[in-house]
Amino acid sequence: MNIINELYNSKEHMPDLQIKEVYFGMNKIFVINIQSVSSSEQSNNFILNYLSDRSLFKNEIFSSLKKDICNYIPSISFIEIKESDVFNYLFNGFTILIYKNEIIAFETKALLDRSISEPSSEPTIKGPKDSFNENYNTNIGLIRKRIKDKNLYMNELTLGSKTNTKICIMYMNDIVDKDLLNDTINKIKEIKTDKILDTYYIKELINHENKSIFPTIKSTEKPDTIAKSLTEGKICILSENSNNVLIIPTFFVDYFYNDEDNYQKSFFTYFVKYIRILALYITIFAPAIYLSLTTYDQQMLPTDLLINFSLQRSNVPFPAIVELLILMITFEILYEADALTPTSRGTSLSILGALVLGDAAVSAGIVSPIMVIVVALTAISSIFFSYQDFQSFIRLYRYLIMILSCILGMIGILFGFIFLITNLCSIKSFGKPFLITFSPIIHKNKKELIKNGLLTQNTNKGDI
Amino acid sequence: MKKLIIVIFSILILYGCDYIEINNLVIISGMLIDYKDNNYYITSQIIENENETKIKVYKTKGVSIEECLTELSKLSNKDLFISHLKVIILTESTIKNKNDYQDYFLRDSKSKMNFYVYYVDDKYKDEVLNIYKDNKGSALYIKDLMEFNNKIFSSSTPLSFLDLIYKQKEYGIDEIYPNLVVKENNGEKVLYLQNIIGFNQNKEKIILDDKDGIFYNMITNNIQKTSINIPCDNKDFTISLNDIKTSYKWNNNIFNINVKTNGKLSSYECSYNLDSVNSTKKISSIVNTFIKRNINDIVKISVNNKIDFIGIGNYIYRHDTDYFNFKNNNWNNKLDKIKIKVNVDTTITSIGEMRK
Repeated sequence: MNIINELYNSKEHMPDLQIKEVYFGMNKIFVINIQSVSSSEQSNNFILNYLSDRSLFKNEIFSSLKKDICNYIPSISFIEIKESDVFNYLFNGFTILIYKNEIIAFETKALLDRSISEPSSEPTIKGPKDSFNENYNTNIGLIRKRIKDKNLYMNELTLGSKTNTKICIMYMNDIVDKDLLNDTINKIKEIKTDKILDTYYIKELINHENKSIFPTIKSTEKPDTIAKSLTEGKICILSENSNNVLIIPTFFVDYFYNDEDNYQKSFFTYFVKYIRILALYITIFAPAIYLSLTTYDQQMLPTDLLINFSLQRSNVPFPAIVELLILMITFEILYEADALTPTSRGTSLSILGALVLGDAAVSAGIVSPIMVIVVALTAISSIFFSYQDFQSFIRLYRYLIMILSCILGMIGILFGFIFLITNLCSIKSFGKPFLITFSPIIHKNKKELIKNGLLTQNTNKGDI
Repeated sequence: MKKLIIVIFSILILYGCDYIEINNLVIISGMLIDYKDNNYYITSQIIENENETKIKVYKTKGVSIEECLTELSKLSNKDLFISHLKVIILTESTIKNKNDYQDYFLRDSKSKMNFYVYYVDDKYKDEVLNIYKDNKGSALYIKDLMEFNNKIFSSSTPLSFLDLIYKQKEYGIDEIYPNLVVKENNGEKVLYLQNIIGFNQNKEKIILDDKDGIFYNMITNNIQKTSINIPCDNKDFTISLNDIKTSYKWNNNIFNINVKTNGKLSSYECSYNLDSVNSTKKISSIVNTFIKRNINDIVKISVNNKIDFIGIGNYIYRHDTDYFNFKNNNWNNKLDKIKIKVNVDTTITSIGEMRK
């Protein structure tokens, strides 16, 4: 067979490619695997043992390798494949047996993935603490064990001409919006790229209609979130070698929802949701409002506060906008540095940040204490929204509104607010309005609203 | 893209309008306006914040308020900030000359017009803003003083700037001013609110003392509760009045002032036995008579001095415009021809603890 010659030729630039010849009298069976991705233990225990037993004791000519394997090798999955698929299966950790014209691929994948651990970017207090890892089948398994329903459908595709990454589109067939599903599948099928290393690559490639910075596709590490989204009629996309799963479509209200809300009393959930909305306002508008109150609209401050602010800023040599920018940029640098710092060095960075932004800058007269408080409040409020893309939107608008407030005071903030709302209202998430439940308001049964919180998805027939 | 460039360009052109750093401002908290020989003499109390809060008092002179404040800006070397003005204190000459000093505050866009207006006698005008320089200044102290007085004693009545404008421009009502005095107590000078001052059309000063002040506030609905001492036999008792409501009625050329209130006895030294219902009714009757007499005294002051600070004319103007030609005639001359009837109805709701 040509494939064998091809394999031998490949050995030159693939040193981990192993080709073993096992003789049965005059017959030869080729056992081929790639050492780095297949498990030698499985290969030895099941395949080579079986072959050596057969050669020692029986030494008979068998008509069909496949038939023989069915009779003699217990519980190992195998598949008969074509010549053109050999390399693909080898790269996926399969051990290939070639005998005459038969090519059988045995699943002997090496465990190159980490075990199921706690989610790193979405900490949980109550609720399940397992998270996705880079193993495709494990991820599917984590979802399957939560949704034991035959209506959980999976559509598998392969993307990336070089990476040949497996993609799985998951949905509940009885409740998903079929138009949305078809649209999503068509978009994914249209992807022409050489690599898909993570679900983020897919996210960028299918989200054409959304030209704004607001994220309309969410990703998560948590299987319980995915299970909840699927039961709400959403579509989830998994990818090989990725521990993030995409949820389509995502709306503005989804970013105010946390899985922890499911495990607490509804009264407290409501309270926390309003705190989150307040935190969003604070993190976007607080620096701008402070700037406007100290440079344009001082008459809005009570006299005592005005005297206090004036006293605090008396030694600062910079205008308020420069002072604010210094602190905000320092905060951004610390924020990014913290994300890239190993845990062992995180403590020293925190101390440095506290010293730089806190005591030292105030004592040196570079910034005023009230400005440090404003920036700190802004930073703390932004922690509520851990999702990276949402953070980007918050940061951009924060700076934009700061600049508008510096130019026009409160009027500028109002302009910024109107622009933000208009922008939000104009976005569509896969054909659905991004501000759904706010605009348009969905009239639902009050009980269901209270039960599900702000997000309302019709679990009856996928009608969003 | 083009639209974005135009928008950004337009925004940049607008940049800088009204931009001012907070520490380049000098906050004017109080102002005393005096007028003499066609000149304004303004004493301003300002709050400066450089390392520490300092209260400073500057005197400036000019033909207009604008000129005086420009001079003040030069003295303090900063931009003036008038939005936090708490008090304006007027002297007799300012009020008598009826200058249009209000015009400056009505025109200035930064003026919030939420300050209060007071009167001060000439002998205290140099001291009034110079007291309390160590704390937040006299102006803020006066504001607290009025709030406290109004809440507890109700003898003085606050006059906001907008109320002043209303009373000056409206028909049938004259303004009266709370009076500031400086008292000496234990070698220390203290600001004090005492009496209410008004000026009639002949520029004569009319004084309502603290007792009159309480009843004035009662009939003009400026207070909800107060406490008064009423004599009975040779002793007296104190009654706390709550839910004071005064209503006016103009009917058949008689102006009715109806006062309705609830009372609670807070101290009692009279001889009537409070066990019996008749005694309670008698007490109620004594209270009614006392309040009525005092209100009548105030009405007499208003009528005799031809100054309608109660607002009788204004009520008639709003409810019976045809009765009097307010535009062309002087209402204060007509005031003595009006029949004014006072009715008081006090309900004693509680007689307190009875001690044997």
